[in-house]
Amino acid sequence: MDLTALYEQLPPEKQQLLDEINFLAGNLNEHLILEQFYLALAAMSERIQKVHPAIPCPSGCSRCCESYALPEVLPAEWELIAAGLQQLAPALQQQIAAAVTASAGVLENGRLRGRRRDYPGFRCPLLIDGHCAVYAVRPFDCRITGYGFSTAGERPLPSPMHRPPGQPLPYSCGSEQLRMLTELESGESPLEYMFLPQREHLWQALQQIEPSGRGPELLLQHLLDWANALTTPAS
Amino acid sequence: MTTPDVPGLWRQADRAQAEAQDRYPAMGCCSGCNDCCKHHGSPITYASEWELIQPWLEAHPETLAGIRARYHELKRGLRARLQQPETPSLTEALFELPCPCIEATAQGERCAIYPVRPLTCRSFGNTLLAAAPESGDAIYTCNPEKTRWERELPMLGEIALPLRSSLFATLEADDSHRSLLSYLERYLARGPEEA
Repeated sequence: MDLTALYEQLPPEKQQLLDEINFLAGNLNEHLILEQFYLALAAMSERIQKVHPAIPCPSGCSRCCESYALPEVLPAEWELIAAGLQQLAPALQQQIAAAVTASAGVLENGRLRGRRRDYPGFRCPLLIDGHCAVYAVRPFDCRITGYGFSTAGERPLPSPMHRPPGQPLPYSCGSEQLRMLTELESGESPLEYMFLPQREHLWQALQQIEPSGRGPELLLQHLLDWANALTTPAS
Repeated sequence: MTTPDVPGLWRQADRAQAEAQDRYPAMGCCSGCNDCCKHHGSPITYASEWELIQPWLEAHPETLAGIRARYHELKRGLRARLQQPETPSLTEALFELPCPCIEATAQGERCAIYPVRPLTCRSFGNTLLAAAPESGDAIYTCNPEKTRWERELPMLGEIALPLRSSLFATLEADDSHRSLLSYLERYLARGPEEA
């Protein structure tokens, strides 16, 4: 496959988008702080959207919040989310806390029972009326969903579309995985698909960015601790 | 592993800057321009440099307090930007980042850590990225300066500036690095939010 030839056949606007995606990918590294990383990732996802207009995410779809919605977050990410929660109206905070408590049965001693891929129907308690209650400060895992590939197997294919184990899959909802893989297998847009980032590569950079040096924890556990503090009267 | 002679490298870079300014009076840096401190992201800083910067900061508590305040202001600004729905441009996301070390003085805006500023800051504007530059892009400098150099290249024939890579060789061989902002973030996380 002659990638240079494919690139040269693209219209100039598309070439520029790919150049910019490439540039952003090179700069999404440990030299940034978290807020910059989020902004740069948003800039990259917007360009990926223009290169792949069929991606349905901007239409307000929340399918990925309604399946396997059990992200891990770094301490600095949780700090932003906690601040975001505090800004919400008290009634909304209570509503979220109730949803968190109701779904906390999947946790045991601060960890998930089993693996994330065991929960195809898990719905994020931060999804309120089809919108993310903390969208502006949502974590990396949510931002990269729909706009990257992953080898982790946490969002497995819903049907037995043959893929060798460990091969990168689109990190998105089931229907997007099928749509993208079908396009790839039919030989469509091979160059454009190469510009989707590898989730694990970016996650590694983020772990180096994390100032505390501590590792990730399940967002749901953070939310449960927050919900318990909310409903416990101050002593 | 020998510790790099950071003060020696800093002095070498300062000498190179003075020589460059002398040889090429049209260079804009000496005018006190600090565009690169505001529009080029945070400078890459090596661990052995930070080992000198940190104690210097502790020995200058007023300066440190100013940097801490500006750092928190920068964070607040970035978080406010996250709240805005419009996607940032490339430059806004990556490069529009005023260094918290830039402070307002009676003489204008100055680098608050000038005596211990990183090698990246000292070598920006006066080093080459390639040995025989044929375009402004081969010069480690800001865009307006690149344009100026490119205009003068046909008249100059060659540009007698040191290679950036030779200046950074010992640091790059042995040392880890972060952006200065990353070092400040870790260091200031231990202190109070407001000065």
